[in-house]
Amino acid sequence: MSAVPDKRGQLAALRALVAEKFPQTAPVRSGRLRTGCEALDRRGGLLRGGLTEVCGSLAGGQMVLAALLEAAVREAFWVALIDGADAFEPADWPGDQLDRLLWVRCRETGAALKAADILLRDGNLPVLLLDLQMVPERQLHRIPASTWHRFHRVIENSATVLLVLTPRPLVEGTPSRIAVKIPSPWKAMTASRRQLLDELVAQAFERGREDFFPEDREAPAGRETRTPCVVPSGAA
Amino acid sequence: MFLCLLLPDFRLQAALRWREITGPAAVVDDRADLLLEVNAAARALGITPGQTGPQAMARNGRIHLLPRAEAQEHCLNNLLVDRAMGLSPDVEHTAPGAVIADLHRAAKTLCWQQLADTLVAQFRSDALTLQVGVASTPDLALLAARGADPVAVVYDPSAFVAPLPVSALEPSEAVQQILAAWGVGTVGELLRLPRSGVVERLGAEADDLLRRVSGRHRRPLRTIRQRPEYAEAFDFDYEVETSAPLLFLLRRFLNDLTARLREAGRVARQMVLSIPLDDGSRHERTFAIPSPTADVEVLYRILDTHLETLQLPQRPTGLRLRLEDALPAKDQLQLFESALRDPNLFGETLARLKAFLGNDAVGVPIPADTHEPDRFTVKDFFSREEGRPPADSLSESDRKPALRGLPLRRCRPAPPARVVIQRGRPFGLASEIATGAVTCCAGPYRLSGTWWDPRGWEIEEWDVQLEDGAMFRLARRGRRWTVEGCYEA
Repeated sequence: MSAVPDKRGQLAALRALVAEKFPQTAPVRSGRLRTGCEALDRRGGLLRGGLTEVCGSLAGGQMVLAALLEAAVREAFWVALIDGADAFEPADWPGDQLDRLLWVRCRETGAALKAADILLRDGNLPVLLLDLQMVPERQLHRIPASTWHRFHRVIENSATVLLVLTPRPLVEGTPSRIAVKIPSPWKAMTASRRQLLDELVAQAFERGREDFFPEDREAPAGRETRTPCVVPSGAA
Repeated sequence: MFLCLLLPDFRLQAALRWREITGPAAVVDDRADLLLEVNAAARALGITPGQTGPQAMARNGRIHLLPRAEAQEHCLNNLLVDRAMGLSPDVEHTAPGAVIADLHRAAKTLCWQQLADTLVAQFRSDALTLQVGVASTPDLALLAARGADPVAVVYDPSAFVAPLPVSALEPSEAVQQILAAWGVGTVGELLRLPRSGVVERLGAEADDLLRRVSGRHRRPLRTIRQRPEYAEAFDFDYEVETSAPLLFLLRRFLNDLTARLREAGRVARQMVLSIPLDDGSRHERTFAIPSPTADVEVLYRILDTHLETLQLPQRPTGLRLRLEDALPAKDQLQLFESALRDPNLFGETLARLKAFLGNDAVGVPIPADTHEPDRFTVKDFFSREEGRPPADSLSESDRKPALRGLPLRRCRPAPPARVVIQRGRPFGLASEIATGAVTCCAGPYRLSGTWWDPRGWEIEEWDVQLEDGAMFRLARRGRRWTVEGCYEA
């Protein structure tokens, strides 16, 4: 156990050495994007030039998108939604927020990852949201870990915010992970969007901090799978 | 003064445009199989217009016999008019390959010879041969251009016309025969005859001929008022099976067209690519340029991205490209608005995404003006504002109320479900994505539309929560239940 701090120290020293010798390869952190949602901005906002994994409930993921679109309308920037399961419902969003959205409809994970790659390399849009929450578990298993490393490399020297919405911790080596949920989803059906954003519960974890939870553990706010229930007798 | 721009052997030059042919060549009338025009190399071999194709082949087997290229002739005429309009707003399109510009408003100090030399050099850089005539009347300018090598400036009309053969004035055959019988072979000899006597004997045609060479009669020009058309065309005479020849030609087209745009201080706001196919149909595609530009590389990349994935049902027989021009944009952004860093690169990125996801898979979602579920359009990112009423023009009743509740994640297509109903409410659910007892439900929300139409629709929707907390929207159409989407899982 005592070897761990030494290893971390060695790693930090190695990173400092590489950054000193090859300054052009050192990642440029361009600050954070504040969304206006208190739960998401608690640690200063969303990481620019880095990948943030947002895992947890479907409703929580939708509220992250709502927070981003509100910020996009307020600050006049565009958000790309790469919809891994073609599940976005335009009728449930206000027109001014849709104006700020580029919707990329994908029917499978491979296409969604390729679309994300193309948009990241383009670098024109400041915020990309890759939604994999509705993607079947078997497709999520097939995503190679190298994909996330490639995304890290592409955006580390940019000011792009890349959010990956997942049903469970999935992205290896992510510098930032946020677990989100809406405490009472049924009651939320009559609440305004602003109220929902205020109610959003988010727990942010960042690499290098003690509370960062690794990929093989369940996210505190998320549910990995839904338990099948028995259909009551007499089902038609 | 009037300046005439003339492309000699116009049909041949149009047919040879964009081709690398150096040897003898002739343009052939397909219907009569007669040579219409021949180049100097063919003429040196004794091949002349009016011969048949086999006669020309008999004289030299390596002659290139080209069919008339009417689309290329049209583009070349446009180029000629465009260049003439750069000199004067008063331009007459006298004949195919010939235009006359009225330069009376030009500066007195203008050197005609220098101007004409510049024009000749400009056309030569486009691999075109130009002859220029400058004279005090339009008809003399045309006559001068026809005999120019390559420039003729007429300062003394009488001295210029005197040695010209009468045939240069293109009289009718009857008049030409009479003049030959009189022993009149040149225009000078004709002018020495008493004018009234000639007109009395030969009629109005002779009067017209004499006026044209008098050097004093300035007929009004039949001026044209046309917007410059930036278009190029090519008809293939060989089978094209890959995109490489198309791309090669498109780059050459773009080099030429963008140079013309830059000369005019314009930029391209839209490109129209048209590919005629073997069966008479055509593939046509319009590309809006996100940030109007005259940059060849940017425009070429857009076309390249399109052709990369294009599969045509038939063999292409030609290629047409037209650029719609506009003034360069001078946008002032709002104080806190962030523009796209490189709109053209972004346009190209969207084109790549559309190429592999489909045209309706990338864009800005616009809900349809109906209550029918899952009706929307996906508009192109750069034309999202088109056709949308301004927000402040909507009345209070038109505006949507503030949205409440969780947004839906829709299942496309909606999976069928079995739903147990008790006391008129869903009690249990079984479907491929969710199964369980319903603990909470809200509804029914009844929707219907277009009842007057056989395709009318009627839906009953329920929001339900299962024992495990998952929330879904169910819909009933007749006796059929489906899971429309998911709120929470």
